[in-house]
Amino acid sequence: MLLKRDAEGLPLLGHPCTVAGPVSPEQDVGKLLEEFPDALIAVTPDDGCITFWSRGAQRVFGYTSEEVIGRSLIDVLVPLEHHELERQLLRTATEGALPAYEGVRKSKDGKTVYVDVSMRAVTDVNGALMHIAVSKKDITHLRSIRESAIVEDKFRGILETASDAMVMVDTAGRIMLMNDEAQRLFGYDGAELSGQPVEVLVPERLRTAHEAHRVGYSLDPKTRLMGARLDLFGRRKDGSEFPAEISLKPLRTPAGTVTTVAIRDVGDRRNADLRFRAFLEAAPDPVMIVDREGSIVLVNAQTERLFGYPRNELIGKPVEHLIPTRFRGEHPGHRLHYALEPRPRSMGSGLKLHALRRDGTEFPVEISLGPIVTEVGTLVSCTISDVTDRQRTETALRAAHAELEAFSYSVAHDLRAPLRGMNGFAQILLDEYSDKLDAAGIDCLHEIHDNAVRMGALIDALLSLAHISRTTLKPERIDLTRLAQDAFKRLKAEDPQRQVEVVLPDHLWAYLDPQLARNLIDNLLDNAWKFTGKTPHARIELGTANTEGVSAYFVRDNGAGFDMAHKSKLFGPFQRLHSMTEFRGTGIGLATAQRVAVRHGGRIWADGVVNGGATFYFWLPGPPAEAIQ
Amino acid sequence: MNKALLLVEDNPTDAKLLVRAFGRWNFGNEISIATDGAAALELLHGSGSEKRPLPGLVLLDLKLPRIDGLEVLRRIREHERTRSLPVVVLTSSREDEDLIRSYAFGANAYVRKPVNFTEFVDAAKTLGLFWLVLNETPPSGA
Repeated sequence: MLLKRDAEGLPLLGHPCTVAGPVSPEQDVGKLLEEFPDALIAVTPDDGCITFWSRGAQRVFGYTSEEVIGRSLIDVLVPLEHHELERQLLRTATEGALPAYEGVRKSKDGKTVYVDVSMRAVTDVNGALMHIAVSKKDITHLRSIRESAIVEDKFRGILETASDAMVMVDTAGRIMLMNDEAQRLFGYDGAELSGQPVEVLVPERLRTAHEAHRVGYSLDPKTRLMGARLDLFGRRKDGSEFPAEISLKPLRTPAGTVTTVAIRDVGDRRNADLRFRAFLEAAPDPVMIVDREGSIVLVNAQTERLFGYPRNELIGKPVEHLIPTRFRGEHPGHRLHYALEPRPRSMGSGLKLHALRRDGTEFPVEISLGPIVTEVGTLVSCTISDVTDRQRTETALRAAHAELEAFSYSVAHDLRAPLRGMNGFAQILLDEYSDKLDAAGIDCLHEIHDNAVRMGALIDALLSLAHISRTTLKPERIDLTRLAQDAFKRLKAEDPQRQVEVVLPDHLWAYLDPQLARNLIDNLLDNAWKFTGKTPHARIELGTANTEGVSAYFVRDNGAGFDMAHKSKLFGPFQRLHSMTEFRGTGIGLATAQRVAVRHGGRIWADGVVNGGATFYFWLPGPPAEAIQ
Repeated sequence: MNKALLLVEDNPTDAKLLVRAFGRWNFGNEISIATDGAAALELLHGSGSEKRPLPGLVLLDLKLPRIDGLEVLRRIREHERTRSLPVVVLTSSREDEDLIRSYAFGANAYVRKPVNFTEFVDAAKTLGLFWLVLNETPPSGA
């Protein structure tokens, strides 16, 4: 049979139809019956057993006629909660009524099918009931579109407030509503997917599995994440895919229970994950990620190299695997302890840690720990440093240090002994044999004596300079005024004829090692005392001042001063800005003062004018003097 | 008050200076010199030593050949006869460690040798006056 068509291929309207004749009942009705798109079913009037099952019924519900003939229609198709209703309707049909209604059915694979049902009793010529003829039209798609309108009115506004892509799906798995974000994410326009099975948003290869999961969900709808532990993907209109995280939530609406689906494109997050792994690989040190149970989750290539394991032999293993057997037992306890208070810190501070290679050898390590908060709980990152080389270096350094100690000991002992001899015998000559020498001879003896004394002072100064560098600091609250008073007492005793005006605050507090504090103050005041030696009204002041943006301590004098052009030389050992005949000295004093300040993390500097005095400032980290009580 | 002085000193210059320094004060004490630790121990504990009177004071240098000063001190304290013998460590060392260990080993005093001879003479006077004149020691062998 040919239809006349217009230029666009559509059947022409108002055109007289050309037909060969009416359908012949004998040949064609049976075939026509088979081809009807709707499900045509006949059941026995008394117990509703299926006696006829059209090809259309097979298409709509999935069962072949062999599977259903002789079974109860209600048992086969009708959800339990509708059984009673269905029985009543069948009964009214047997009583001659023509029930027509909309209902819900289950297909063979468990899918919900919405149907438009109509029934009619069929009698024989004698009026005896023979069949109930049932026609069921699949209206799932139509219904979705209709219900969508209802749901859309009520929920569109809410759906648009969500930042995630949201899709509402009815119990039959048909799309009712998508928010703008979902349309953007999947690349569809407006309502073009309304009434479509939600599988259109799923890659083809996963659709069958998805339908089965969806049916499973419809049996027990509750809020949950879809396919936890599975890699999920969404399919865009253009056929491209994206990794997704999907959560489901059932929602009661006037159109029945619908499922709200929130879809998040986690492509970015997977990229972040990849970036994290790349970052791990790029880390110079071996890094391991360990989960709450102490299993190794992730390692980098450096870890493989360090321990001699390929990573597939490490992943999933307890981290204790990498610890020598004798330390293994106590480790899980430490791990639990860390899990209680996870924060970035080094492992077992103060303890020597050992690690175990695949070949059974051990090596010393240092490990820093840090918590990483993730969706699967708090993981711990362990950065491992092989400290074999460092321990070797430390041993060598300790040996070198001990050698230096021995050296300074012998300097102290062996160099001072001959000096004592020179000094002593020169003194004996001066004391006991002066009458046998002339003035020039006596002057020579004085030179020998004085040089020996000066060399002794130099050795002492050098030793005390070395002492500052290797002593252990024990800072405490120190009154610098007290130290200055002691120093001035000593200086006045050495030089009783000198008149110096001393200006000291009542107290001047600082946090310093007491021994080194005395060293610092002694050297600065010795310096001030020395360079005011030729000043008529000498004045030395100790105090604090705000200078160069900090609150600094100072020692100020009105003595010989210095040329600021040479200020860089002030604090170098053996650097002198004055000749020995002008002012005597070892050239070590200010170097010592500087080393004290530096050892405490502070600094020292000076201001001066030739013949206009000098001010030495020192600054120490920690609270300013006024704040120390 | 004729207590003898035992000087344990390997440096002849220092030994001479000490003898002179003590000589200036005319304590009139006999001064014997041991030039190493072994010699000092031989004098104190060796054969026939029990017949000699103990010195009133030992001036002990720390850095000595063969047996060093701290070991000498340890053995002096270990030996019954010399357990309470006054021993003053006289050294050029400025190491705190030496000071601490000397006292731990039972030194009665610790004096640093001054470089300046005048101070050296003063030190000799103070030491001689205290240990050889004022200080009372238990009877020999007690």
